Parts: sequence; C-alpha cells; structure tokens
Amino acid sequence: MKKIYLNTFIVAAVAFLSSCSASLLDIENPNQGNVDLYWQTATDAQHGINGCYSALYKEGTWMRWLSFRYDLTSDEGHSTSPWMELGQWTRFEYNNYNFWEGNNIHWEHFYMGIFRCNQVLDNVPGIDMDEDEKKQVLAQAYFLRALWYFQINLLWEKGTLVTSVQDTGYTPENASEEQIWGQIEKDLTTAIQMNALPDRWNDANAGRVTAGALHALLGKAYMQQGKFAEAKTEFNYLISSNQWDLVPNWMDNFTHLNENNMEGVFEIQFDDTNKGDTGNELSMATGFQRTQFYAPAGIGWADGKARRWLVDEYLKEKRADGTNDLRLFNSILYRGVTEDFSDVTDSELYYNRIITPAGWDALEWAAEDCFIRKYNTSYYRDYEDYFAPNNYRIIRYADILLNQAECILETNGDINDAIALIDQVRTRAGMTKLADSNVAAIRNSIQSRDALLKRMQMERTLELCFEGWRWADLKRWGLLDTQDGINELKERDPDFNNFVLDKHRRLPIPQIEVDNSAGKLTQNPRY
Amino acid sequence: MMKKFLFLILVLCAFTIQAQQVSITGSVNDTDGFPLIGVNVVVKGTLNGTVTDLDGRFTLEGENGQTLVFSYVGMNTIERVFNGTPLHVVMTDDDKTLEEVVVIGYQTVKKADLTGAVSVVDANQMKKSASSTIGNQLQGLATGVNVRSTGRAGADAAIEIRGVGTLSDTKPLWIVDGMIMDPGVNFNPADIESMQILKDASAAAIYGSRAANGVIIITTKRGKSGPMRVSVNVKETFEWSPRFDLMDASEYKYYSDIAYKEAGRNPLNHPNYDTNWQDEVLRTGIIQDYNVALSGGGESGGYYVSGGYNKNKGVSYGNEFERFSFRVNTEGKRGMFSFGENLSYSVTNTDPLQTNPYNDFVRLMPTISVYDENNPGGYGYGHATADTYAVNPIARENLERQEEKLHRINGSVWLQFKPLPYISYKLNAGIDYHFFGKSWFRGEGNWTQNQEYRAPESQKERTDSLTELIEHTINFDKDFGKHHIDAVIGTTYQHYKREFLWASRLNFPMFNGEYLTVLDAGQSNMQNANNIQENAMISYLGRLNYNYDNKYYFSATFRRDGTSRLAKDNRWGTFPSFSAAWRISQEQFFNVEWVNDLKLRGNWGKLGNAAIDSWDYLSTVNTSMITVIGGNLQPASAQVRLKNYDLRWETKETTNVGFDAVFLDYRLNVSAEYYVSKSKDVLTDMPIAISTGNQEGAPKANAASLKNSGFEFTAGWKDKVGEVNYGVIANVTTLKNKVLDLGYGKDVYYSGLTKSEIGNPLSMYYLLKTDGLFRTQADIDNYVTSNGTPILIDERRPQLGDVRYIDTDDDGNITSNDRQIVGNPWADVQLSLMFNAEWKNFDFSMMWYGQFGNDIYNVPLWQGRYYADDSNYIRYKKGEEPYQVNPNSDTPRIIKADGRNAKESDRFLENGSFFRMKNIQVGYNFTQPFIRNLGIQNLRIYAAGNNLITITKYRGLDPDFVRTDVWDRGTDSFEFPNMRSFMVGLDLTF
Repeated sequence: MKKIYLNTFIVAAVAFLSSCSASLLDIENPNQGNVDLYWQTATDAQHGINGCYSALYKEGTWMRWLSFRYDLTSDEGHSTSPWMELGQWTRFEYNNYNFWEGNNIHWEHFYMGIFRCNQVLDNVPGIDMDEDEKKQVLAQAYFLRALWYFQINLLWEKGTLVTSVQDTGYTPENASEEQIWGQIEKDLTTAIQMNALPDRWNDANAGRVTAGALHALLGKAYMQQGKFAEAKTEFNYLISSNQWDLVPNWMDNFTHLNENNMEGVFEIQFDDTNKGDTGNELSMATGFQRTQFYAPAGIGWADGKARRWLVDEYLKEKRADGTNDLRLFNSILYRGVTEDFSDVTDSELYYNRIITPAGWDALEWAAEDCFIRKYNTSYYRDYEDYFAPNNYRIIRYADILLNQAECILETNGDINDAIALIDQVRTRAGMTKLADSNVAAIRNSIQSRDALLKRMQMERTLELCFEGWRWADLKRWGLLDTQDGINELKERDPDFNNFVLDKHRRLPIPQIEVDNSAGKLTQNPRY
Repeated sequence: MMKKFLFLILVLCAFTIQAQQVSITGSVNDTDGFPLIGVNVVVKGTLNGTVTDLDGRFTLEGENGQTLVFSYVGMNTIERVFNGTPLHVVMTDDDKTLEEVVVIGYQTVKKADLTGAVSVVDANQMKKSASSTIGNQLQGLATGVNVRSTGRAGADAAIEIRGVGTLSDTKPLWIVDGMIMDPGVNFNPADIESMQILKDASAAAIYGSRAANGVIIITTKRGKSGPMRVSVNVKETFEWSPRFDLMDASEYKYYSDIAYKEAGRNPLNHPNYDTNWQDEVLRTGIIQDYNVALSGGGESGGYYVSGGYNKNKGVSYGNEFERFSFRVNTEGKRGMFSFGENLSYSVTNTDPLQTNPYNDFVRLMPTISVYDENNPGGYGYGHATADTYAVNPIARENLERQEEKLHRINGSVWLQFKPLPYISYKLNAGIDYHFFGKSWFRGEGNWTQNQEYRAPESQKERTDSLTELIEHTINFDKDFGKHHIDAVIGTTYQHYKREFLWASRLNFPMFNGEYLTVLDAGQSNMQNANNIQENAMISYLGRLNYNYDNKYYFSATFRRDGTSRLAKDNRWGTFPSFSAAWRISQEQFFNVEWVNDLKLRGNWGKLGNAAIDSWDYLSTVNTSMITVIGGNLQPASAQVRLKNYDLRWETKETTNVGFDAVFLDYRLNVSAEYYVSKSKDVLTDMPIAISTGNQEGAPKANAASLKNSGFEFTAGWKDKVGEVNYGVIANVTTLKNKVLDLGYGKDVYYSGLTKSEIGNPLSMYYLLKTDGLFRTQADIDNYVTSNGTPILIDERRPQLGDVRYIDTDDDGNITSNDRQIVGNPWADVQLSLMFNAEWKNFDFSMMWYGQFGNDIYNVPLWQGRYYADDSNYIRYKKGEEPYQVNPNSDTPRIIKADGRNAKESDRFLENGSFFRMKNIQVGYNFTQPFIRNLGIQNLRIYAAGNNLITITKYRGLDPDFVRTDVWDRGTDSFEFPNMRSFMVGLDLTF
C-alpha cells in the first residue's frame, strides 16, 4: 500500500516538475520592432531619411549650443553667462575637456546624426523600391552625413571616420582633417552624380535637401580647404540657375512668416507644435531654443551677447536713403538703438517692453550690453521659450553670393564680378553699391583685390553675423594662424587675449573618447 | 519528541517522590509574558521536581532556602532560591542553542548543520532602529552586509552583501515567505519573524541566478498555538539632518568681495538679506509608527493578523511618506495535508522631494530672500547681484506638486502533501502586484534664475506590475542509522509584466484662484506614453544534504535557470555548488573541555545573474519619431540604441573556508571565514564610444570580471556579572576587489573621475595630483619641467597662493595627461560592534558601525570653496582662511571666474573612514503585579538614539552615503546624509 502511494507520488511529481515548457521564455518585445526586420519597403526608407533630419532637433546642433561655438567664440559675440564654464567655453578657457554643453554634446549629436545617415546608406540600397526614389533618399543621407562631418572639421579639425553602422565595441581612431574633407567631398560628389534631387521640392516636401544645397555645401567644403576654383564651379550652379534669389524683405530670412523661400538653400525646419523635450519620440520638441539663450535678462538668459564693434561698424555707413542700416536694428539690441532708429515703427518696443535709454535702465540692463536680436521672436510675441517656430537658415543665398565673390577674388577672377555679387547683397539691404558708399574707405575698397577682399570680410559679418559662419570664415581667412590675425581680433573681442596659437583654433577632443580609444584617437595638440 | 519524553519522566518522578515539606509555588512565563507549559522544575541536587501546568504554574514540596532549577528546551536554564514567597520566573530564549532552525531556501536546517555562510539577523535588534523600512533596520546586524541609508522619507536603503558582486544591480535577492520580491518601503518590518542572509555561493546556490548578490530570506510571523495574543507597538521618532557650516551674509560678502577684487572686478552690490537657507528648509522630522498584531491558534491551525501605520514627515520641506499595511497569515493542517497563506496589502503615499536641497544650500547665497513678489510665483532666487542658478527649494516644493501612491498586494498560498513522514510535496503559488499612480502639476511661477516660460502643466502616470510565481518541490528527510539524508528537488516558473502609462497636457485654467489640474482641464499639447516590460524564468533545482553522525557533512546543490532576457543561445545557465563540514567537537578524540562546539567548513559554488531589462539583447528601431518637412510633422524612424545581442549570464564563483566554534561554557562563540569570489562577465551599463552615435544610455555589456576576497570574523561574548547580564558581538569584514577583465576586450576603462584597469581595484580615482600652494616666489620659479621649461596652468604661470599641480607628463602644461591614480573608493574593512546588557528590569544596547580605508571625493566642499562662480561658501575654520587672508593656510587664492585653483584634483579627495554609533537604546520592562492586574502580559518602554556620534575626518555632511554607480562609487555629489534621531517607543502585549 505504502509503496503504491510512493510510486504514484513520484509519477505525479515528475509530471509536475517537467511541466514547464521552454517556449515560455520566448517573449517578443511589444514596444519596438526588431531592427533586423526593418528596411524592407520604400516607406521604411522614407521614414529612415526623415530620421536623419530628425537628428537636427538636438541641443548639440544649431538648435541650441552650436551657436555658442560659432557665434560667441568668434569675435562677433561673447558670453557673460553666470554659468562660469559655459562662458569659459566661449573664450578659449577649456579646462574640463568633457564639458558637456561645450564639447561632448556636439560630438555626440554629430555622430548620432552620422549614425542615422549610415543606417540609411547601409540599408536602403538593398530595399526593393523605385530606383529614383531610392536615389533621392540616398542623396539626402549623403548630404546630411557631409553636413555633420563639416561641423566636426570646423570644431576639432579631426575626428574618427565612421562611414557604416558600427557595433558596440567600436574604437574610434584618428582621421585627419584632410581625410574628413575627402569623405565630405566624396559624399557630396556621389550625391550630385546621382542627379536625383530637384532644385526645388513641392510644398509637401519643403525643407528637404535640394540639388542646390549639395552644390553649396560642396563649394563651402572646397573653400575651407582653399580650393577656390573648385568651389567657384559649385557656387556657380546656384548663381547661374534661376531657382535662387535674395528675398526683398531681409527679415524674411529670420522669421517663420516666409520660410523655404527663394533665398533659403538649406534650413532647419523648426516648429512649435510639440512642447516636450528633445527625446526620440512622437512628442519630441522641434522648436528653436537658442532664442531663449540669447534674449536679454528678464526675457531670456542673456547667455550670448554681441560685441560692440559690430554696432559701430554698422553705424559707420548710411543706407542709400541716409538712414542707418536696418540690419543693425534687426541684428543687435543696444542702448540707444531707439534713437538711431527713431524712424522705425514701434522701434521703442521690444517683447512689449520699452527699450528707450530710460526703459533700458529701468530694465536694469547694463549700458554697455549688446544683445543678439537676430532670429529672436519678438516680432510676434512678448516672451521666449524652447519652442520658437522660425527656421534656422544654415545656408542662404546671400551667403553663397558672398562666398562666390571671395572665390572670384581668391582665384584672381574679374574684380567687377565680385563687386557685383557684393553689391547685390548690399542693395537688397537698402545700402548703396560699394562705389556709391558715403564712406570713403568703402568706396575705395573696389580699387584693389586685397582691399575688396578685406571689405568683403566686413560685408559678410554685417550680412551674416550670428548665422554660424564667422568661425569658419576666421579660419579660412587665416586670422587664427598668425599673431597679427589674433591681434586684429583682440581689438574687437578681448576674449582673444586668451587665444594660444596652434591650440585654440580647434577644440580639445572629448577626453572620455580619447581615454577609451586605447590610444587610437589622440588628443589635439597642446591639450 | 524528546520534550514529551522528558515531560513523562518528570511527571512520573513528581509522583514518586514523597512530599513532606513546605509547598513551593510559582509560575513560569516567557519574555512575552505567556505562560510556559511543561517546564522542568527540580530542586537542585535532588530528584525532586515537577513540570508547569497549562497556566505555567507549579507546586512542589521543598524547604526554604533550597535552589530550584528551571529548564526547558531552547531556553536558558535558570536557578532561583526559594525564600517563602511564590516564585515568578521569566525564561529567556537560549541564543546559544545550536538547535536553531535556519531557512536556507526550500528547506530548513539546524544552524549547527550549516555548511555555507548564513547570517541570522536578530529581529529584536532590528526593532531598535528608528527607521521604518527593513533595509534601514538591517545595518550592522550581520557580517558582510553593508547597508547605506538614502535619508529621504519614503526611500529605501541600499544593501550590499560582501561588496560588489554584480555591477548591474547590487541588490540582493529577497525571498519573503517563499515569494521572490523586493519588500521595499511598503513592507512593514514589524511583521518579521526571522530573517536569514545567505551570503556565499553554496548557501545561495539553490536560488541560482539572481543570487549572485546574496539572498535575504524573510519569514513573517505566524500564529502560535495558544490563546490570542494582542501586541501593540508604538514608536515616535524625531529626526534632524546634519548641516553644512555655511557663511552668513556678512562673511559671504566679505569673501565674495575678495574673490571679485582678485579678478580685477568690482564687488557685487549685494542685496541686504541674510537668509539661512538650512533654517528655512530643514525641520525636525517626525516618524510615527503604530502596529497592532493579533495571533493565536490551536492544534489544527494558526493565524497572525496585523495592521500598521507609519507616517514620516521628512526633515526637508516638502517630503512626506505614509504607509498603511495589513497582513493575514494563516495555516492549517489535516491529515497528510497542510496549507497556508500569507497575504499582505499596503498603501503608501509619498510626496517626494523635487530638488536636492543639500545642493541648493551650498549654492544659494544668504543675500537671496525666500520670497520676492517681483518674481513670477513670488519666490526669491538668483539674479544679477546674487548670480546663482540654485533652486529655491521652498519655491520648487510649492510650485511643483507631486503625489505618488502605490497599492501593493502580495502573498502566496501553499499546499503541502506529506504521504510519508520522510517525504513531502509542496505547491507554492504567489503573486506580487503593484499599482502605482503619480500626479504631477506645475503652475506658473519660477524657482531659479532664468527659467524659460512654461505653461501650467499636468502629468499623470499609472504603472502596474505583476509577478507570478509557481513552485513545485519535493522534500525528503530520513535517517538511516547514523546516516542522515535530506534532499529537495523542484521546479519554478516566474513571470513578470509591467505596463507603464503616462499622459500630460499644457495650459490649465484657473478658477477662483485655483488651477484645475485634472488632465481633462488641459487645453493643449496632449502627450502620452506607454510601454511594457515582460520577462520570465524557468528553473530546475535540487539539493542533497548528507551527514554522518552529526560529524561529517556534505551538501550538493544544483540549479538550472532559463531566462527570457538573454538571446536563445545564451538563455540557460547551470549553477552547481558543493560544501562540506566537519564537526570536530563531535569526535570521540576531541575532548577539550572549554570548547563546546567546533565545526570546520568549506565550500565552492557558482551563481548567476541576468538582472537586466527584458530586451537588453535586442536591437530595435524606433519608428515613432518625427521630423518637420513641408511645415508638418512627419514620421521618422531610426535605430537609436545599440545593443549587445551576445549578452550572456554573469557568473560568480565563490570559495569559502571557515569555522564556527563555541567556547567556555557557551559564553564565547566565534565564526571566521575567508572568501574569494570571482565575478565573471559582470552585466552592467558600460558606456561605449560616443562616436558610434548610440543614444539613450549605454548598452548592457558583460563589462568586467572582478575578484572580491576577504575575511569575515564574528565573535560574541555573553556573561553575567552580579545581576548584570551582558553580551558583546563584534563583526569584522575585510574586502578587496581586483579587476580581472574589462568589456569589449579593453585593458583600461575611464569614466568621469575614475580609471579601472586590469589588476587594480575597480574605479580608482584618477585626478590631478597637487602639492600644496605656491608660497614664495622661489616656489614659483622652481615650478619647471625637468629640462627647465616653466610649467603653465591654463596657459598661465601661477601666482602666490595658487595650487601647485604636478606636471606628471613633464610637458610644461597642466592638462588631462597629468592625471594619476590618487585614491580608492573601496573600504578595506567594515566593523560593527554591538553591546547589550540587562539589569533587573532595565535593558541597554548600543551598536557601532564603521568602515575604514576608503576615499571620498567631496563635491560639496569643491562647490563651497569654488569662488570661480557665485554661490554661498563653506565657512573657514580658524587657520583655513584663503591665501589672501591667511598666507599660511592651505586654502589657495580665491578668484572670481577663474577655475585654476578648483580643478578636479586630490585636494577634494578625503579619507572616508568613519566609526559611528548607529544606535543606543535603554528599555524598561514592567513586571510589577499591577501590570498583570490590568490584564497586560508584557509592557516595555524604551528610548533610543540613532547616529548621535560619528568619528570621522571627512568634512562633508556624512561619510556614509549611497551611490550605486559602480564606475564612480565614492563621490559625494550632495548625497543625502543619514539623519540623527531620537526615538521613544512602547511594546505592549496582552
């Protein structure tokens, strides 16, 4: 009896013990699809290239901090931020090479953008889809990858070259500035040769990379390397076409009221619909944040300010109608602006605050402060936030015209061609032609190539200040290479007193990336 | 069995002895005041004796002046002289008994038979802690267990067993009444009957995976046979936070002005306030803890029902916690079947802190006012003449309203079938259900300088999670002559699912001065989020224990685990362990009178860990992003995170050798052991190259292999001097860790302030090394490289009063290449000491805990002496003033907007050793007759203090803080300190 009991028990027990099926361990991820199963259809490719654009909505890009590198580090601007390290990183005081907002965030977001482009470039060729559509997708990805590498060269003058999706064990290794320029040229040339992108997209696709953007970026890449002849050919693509022109109202380049217009060559499409953070989700924010950082105290954070010499430079010359240059009014806010521009309607109101000298003092703004007005949203509201809707124009036609003028002068082309391009930009802003300026030195600048080159440099900053190109310009013009150049910059921006030759023309590579590269990615010289 | 037999003998004895003298009467109770039935009462030196009856009373014949001996299995034998009045004897549990039963997972064994490292925590000691969570109460009560408090109301402590075993999750595995679950802050510690900690591989191996950090087994109270007992516990605790010694307004202005002038700037035009932010934000915390428990039972079953309420008003403004808990444990028996259930329900309400006030204390100047009607919201914060971004904690706690509510039901039912005395089958099924809700609202108003405009926002979260567990086990237990065999085999299946739902809106209207905060009232920007975590594990387990004549012990354990959290090929892991022991004292030849028991033991075992997220091995594509094209939001996709598909089980192999001994008539007991454990393929987040483009967190990786080794030593002494009973227990643990391997084949890995290198301890401080200040021009002139090049600090030559950094690479520039290993975040030794004594009705106890040999990077000190930006400053002690004030001090020149003298360096690395009186307590037991007359069995009142004395050189708030990032273990980045507290309490049983 007992034995039967025991036997039954053992049988029952064994049955129980073996009752678990290993298939209970096969649990699918219901949140996101497996990456191996993606990249099958044209829609996957389209959403994938959209993912590449989505990388622009990150704080390390022009959305927020990149302007600190290009505008504030250059002689156009400076920072008096009480956040000491933030300020230091605009005046060549790089102590902590891992400073997130000054350094690592750029590295991370640029390479994140490259990662997304690499996903498209690795996977889309294998998708069974319309070949023209496929080429369009690939060409856009080549452009965006080149755009990111361009920034890497401007900031660090070296990097690591990642041209396909890497696995987690990837170790970065030195890629020289030349190697990276080579990759940029290759990507853009490949995209141009595909001949897939239109000069102008339909409204539903406005904001995508155009053929003109490919040529413009390639031209700029050539220029940065001193290959002015090659650059000239690329810029000529835009200038000889009738697809681009200067917009009559200069302010249309900075508001959300006339975006993707004739002048826009490549713009970040900002939008204020979403008010979340900048994560990777449906509610991610896609607004312009820099406006909050540049706006004066009480409205924004006044972390970035303009240097006074710019104001003085604008005021030197009158418009054709004898008034002051409206580009000053719309670029920089300084004490006394209401007096210099008393002819402008409502000039004394700014974010609905009175900014006459008395109002200025009542707002407790320092008398010497010059705030950056360009791109702010005071034209339609009385506050700033992290969600400004106005597109940031990375490349606009006026910039290309001035670039082309420079290429003509650098290649000893016809000086009159260069003058005509510069005049085109000046007259749109209501200024006289160079030859007719009320300032003798400007009139005389057309007399020689060197003088015109120097004048062109000033014309660029008057037209393009705080649009992110000054740092590239200073490098290209060699001002960072010699003590004479630095001395010239020091006069405009005392931050250059900290500048050490052959050191501060580039940022330190994020230290953590150098540390964990097993010696393959070396730190920049003197850091 | 034995007890019954003795009882019979004694009953017989009692009848056979002729009564001829006076009648000696009395009663015997246990410490809870309950009558003890069947206690042997014998007149010393005679065969004259009796046993107590159902009421614990006894009567026997004897003479005045005779000594009676009271004995009972499991209790201390007591002798009392009869002098004519009835004797009321209280017998205490016999701690020295080796018959103590220890739960080791699916089985119980006698402590004497243990072959692995197991600590038994004294639940009575835990009660003495002022804290109301299990974790916090555990500190110092067992060797090799390090508990660090987080100091926030409603947050649990961090527990580590024998150092860092696994880096991914240092939490031990908790088993509550057979259910795998983290008791957390919801659990009422008053319900604990016993607690055992399985520290080594052989002890924990039955739990296989997840046991790599050790296992803590909790058994909750159950009804004991007898009439209903009602016990009531009341505790009131008052808590105070340690404070920084910060400057007041006049000192602040004085030093701020010096720093500004040094930088060639005009001093600030300081506002005329003098706010003591610590006074404004910190308060006396009050913890109220009430518990009522009813228990009882009979032959066929027992019950335990309890209810508890705990309220914790945190020491910091805006932090509160409240817990209601309820438990029912019952068990019953009929024939071959027995069954039981444990069920608990709790609700916690938490108002968590929105900011770290300790950070704000240092960064908020005294010249800022708490309220300022000119600011949106009406609170004061940084501005142009008090230029800080610190958060006004009062403002933030008021403007940001967060409430968290967690309902938790957990418990298990079990059914046991025992067809034969030596074999049984048990089915155990349990659940652990959490329902979490969070409401968050922010109205208009600011708490810091330069806040961007944000419309009123409301967020709601609902998360529910369910763990289900089913276990089948078969137990075998039989003696064959002198051979004893017991064994268990079983299978378990565990499934976990958690679903998170979140929604928010912007723009909430105000009615009658109050916001509507329910989501429906929001006018724009609907957002939501939803995600699921789900995983499962299947295990097969078995253990065989064998002993011969209670002398030779052998045990083998086996567990095979399959987890859904790893890829199919790597899913299954096998975790065996073996142990053996020799109880020398049982040998015939062993005849040392002063040694009562001596056991040698050794074991080896392998454990596993895969405590990662459900799909950490799977690379996915995020298909729900957007971008803006053509003025509209368009769908966008990309792989955002990189993952390691080939993740495999983390394993930990441990070898243990030790002995347990009892000496000198059970007065001294000593345990010692040496352990070496190798953690291989440790699973943790390991940041990868940024240039991969990976975002949203480092992928999990098999990041490192580590070796931990050390000694553990416990000694307890117990004796009596006159009428004073006292005991002393000392626990010492040493630990040493060494990196054997690093993930992705690296030899060295850097993270923030630390460097991990094969052959060295993990995460060593890697910073600039300093060598005092430049005090003379000669010091500066001599600051040159080996070839005479002047050394530059931030491209400048130093001045008098600057910090001298060592130019390690001798290149003439102080850069990141000059970093060196300058400190170790790991303690060498942990020590705890417990002392307790009883005298008449009084009892006294004290517990000290310390750790020694670690370094702490003191971020508050760095911030509080960082004149480069504007913040408040930590007050200088005499002789410590900065160079400008006192050229002989070690504090450098203070300069506004210049970080040269505040670089991350060994200047802020401090000795983290401390020794602290964690607890001191005095109690009084009422045994007076009037208590009995009130129907009270037991009444005890007590008072206790926690963390009242700390001996340390560390200059931060508290050297004993929690930081779980293994790559940066010892950095005090404004971590929350332990509170000082005073507690009064009352235990009542009737």
